[in-house]
Amino acid sequence: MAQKEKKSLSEGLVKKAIVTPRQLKQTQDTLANRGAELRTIVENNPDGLIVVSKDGAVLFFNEVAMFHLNRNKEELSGKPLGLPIDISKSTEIDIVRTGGGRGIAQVCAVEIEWEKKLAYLVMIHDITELKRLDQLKDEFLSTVSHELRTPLTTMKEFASIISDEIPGKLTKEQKEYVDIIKCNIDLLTRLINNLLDISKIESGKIEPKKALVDITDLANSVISLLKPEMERKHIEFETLFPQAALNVYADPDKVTQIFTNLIGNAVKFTPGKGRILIEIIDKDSEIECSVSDTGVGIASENLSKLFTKFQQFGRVPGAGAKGTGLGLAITKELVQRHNGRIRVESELGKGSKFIFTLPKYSKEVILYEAVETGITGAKKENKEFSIFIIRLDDYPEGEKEFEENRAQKVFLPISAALEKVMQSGDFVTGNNEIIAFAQVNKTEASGVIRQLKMVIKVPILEIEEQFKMGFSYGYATYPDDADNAKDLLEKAYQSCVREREERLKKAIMIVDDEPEARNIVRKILQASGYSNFSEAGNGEEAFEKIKTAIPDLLILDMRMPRMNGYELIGMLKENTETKDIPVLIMSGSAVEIDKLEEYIKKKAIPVVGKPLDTEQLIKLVNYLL
Amino acid sequence: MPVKRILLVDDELELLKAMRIRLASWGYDVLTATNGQEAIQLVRKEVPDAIILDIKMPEMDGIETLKRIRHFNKEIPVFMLTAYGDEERFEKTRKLGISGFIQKGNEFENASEFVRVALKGQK
Repeated sequence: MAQKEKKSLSEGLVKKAIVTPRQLKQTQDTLANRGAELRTIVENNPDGLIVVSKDGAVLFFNEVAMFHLNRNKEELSGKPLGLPIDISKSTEIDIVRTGGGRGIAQVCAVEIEWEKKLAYLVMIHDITELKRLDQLKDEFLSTVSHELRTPLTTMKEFASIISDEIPGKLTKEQKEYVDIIKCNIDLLTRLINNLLDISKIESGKIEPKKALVDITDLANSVISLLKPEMERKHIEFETLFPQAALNVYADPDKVTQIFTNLIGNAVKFTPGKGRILIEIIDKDSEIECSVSDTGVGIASENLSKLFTKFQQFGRVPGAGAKGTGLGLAITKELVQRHNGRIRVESELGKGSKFIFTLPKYSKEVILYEAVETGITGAKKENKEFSIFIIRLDDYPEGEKEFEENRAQKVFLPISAALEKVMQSGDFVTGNNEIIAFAQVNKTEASGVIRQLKMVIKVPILEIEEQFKMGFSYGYATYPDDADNAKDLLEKAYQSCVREREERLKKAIMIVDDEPEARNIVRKILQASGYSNFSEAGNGEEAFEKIKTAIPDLLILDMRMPRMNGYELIGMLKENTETKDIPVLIMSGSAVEIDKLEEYIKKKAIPVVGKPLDTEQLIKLVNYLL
Repeated sequence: MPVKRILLVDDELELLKAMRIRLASWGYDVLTATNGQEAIQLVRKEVPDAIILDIKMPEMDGIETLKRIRHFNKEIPVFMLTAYGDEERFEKTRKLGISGFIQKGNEFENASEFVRVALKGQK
């Protein structure tokens, strides 16, 4: 019955579609041909093509992909690809081809549908030859410019010597001519320098050396350099800057160059008695800077060409340094290198306004980037790279005063101390962290953290006098612990967390004759995470207990029956195993320092008063452990 | 006041001559050398008050020359002659005791100020 139904159904279908078996065969053949054709295209494509499922397994690949990745069929199909898949941008990777040839490839990915599911098509494009040509171009440019500059320098020096009348007096005419020579040598020199600049920037050779800098400060220093020229031309200028310092994460030299070009242009193209306005506006996600002038302006048909190379408009005839036609092209590149944007508004005869933006970065991004730059540098120089994180716990949010004092009070002492133990280092602040990184050689690395522990305690404790704060610290090393920024930070954080966890597990003995007082101390410390306590009601009891288990810290009341605090310290001093136990004295009355003799003086035992100051107790315990 | 002596080192003879004339016009006594070896010998023998040293020289470059000079003389102020765009590369060598960088062809005219300041600090 079922059989019959099926038959009639297929008969019906054939009838409906009116496809003869011959036609079907033809269609099948065509499809097979198409399939073979497509396969030929895919296989002969010079790019490696790979289809990867959403969860990262390789579903399809061509021969070229196998060649570029140096992996055979078995090593690829169904296996993880192991390459970055980023549909937003292409990445460059080093490849070792089958047979051992090394090269560089560009990897990009697009989302596709594969067997009715979302997947990625990953393309591997060999750019080794392109890179080689690019390098040749750079070398050529740098050689040529150097060769050009050498004779220019000599020409310039001799022209100046003649112009300055060192060999002898010149007639007015002679002086004029030699000054023209000088001006043109300068122009040529600037041209070569600018060309060199732009080729370096365009080739990505110059990565901005970003740091946190006050942008108003940079703008002001450029303005002060150009001020004499503005005054000479009687140009009125005004600045509208935010009241407080405005930090940007950017390369200070490059931002200075951007300002110099834009303000310099404004001064150049603004006639006498004109006006220039420089504005810096702090916006939500970016910082906007603008330079407006009442200069000659730019015709609307020229606006689009303004940022291209060798374009000059509104050339001022006569005296003054001639432009190279590269200034704005360089400026644009520099802004873009910082992920900013630049635009211009202008009206011929009325003036121009150049606006550029610089993005604001979260502290995390800054931190991450700084570490990445550090690793890249270390990789290049084959050096070991260490990162230290000093984590400030319980840092009160919005503590303005601390924020302002951070640099002076935390940074400087630490940086000074670290300089002693490191060859080179750098610092960055994160949210609650101070990150220090250093390039240290292997033997030094292990010792550094110990030294760090000793040196950082003091400056941070000074801060803790005013602010509730604890700290922990961690470190990680490239290349041992990690080989990329994310990993390195992660490892350093982990080590930071571990340090804190280990510290919280340390054994604390509380010695006081009043059980209530012991309870209070224990509760305070428990609240901040400590868990390992022992207690004693007097010195004698404490001494007995210490004999069996040596604590990591002793919190000691001085006035107790049987054996008091002074006596206990004296006893502990006698034994090599117990003489180094850190002691924190808890006392209602003044501590009789002389009773403690040399011992206390040497160890500078800290004292907390009674009634207890909770914060002081915690920070001293943190410090001593 | 005795005339200050400056040792000028560059392998490009014509440029060396131009710079010598310039320095002499400012009233300095100028010694010249065209390579690192010669410079080191002159520093030993004549002990100049300052050195202006080209970074890019064949055989022994300026940095190597300076290193060798620093073996026996740590005090002499030294100015390095650099090409445009090269300063960054040599920023690290400052710790060898470099008083300043003079950009070739651009700043030599203004270099007198540099040199004067450095020489003032001396007795």
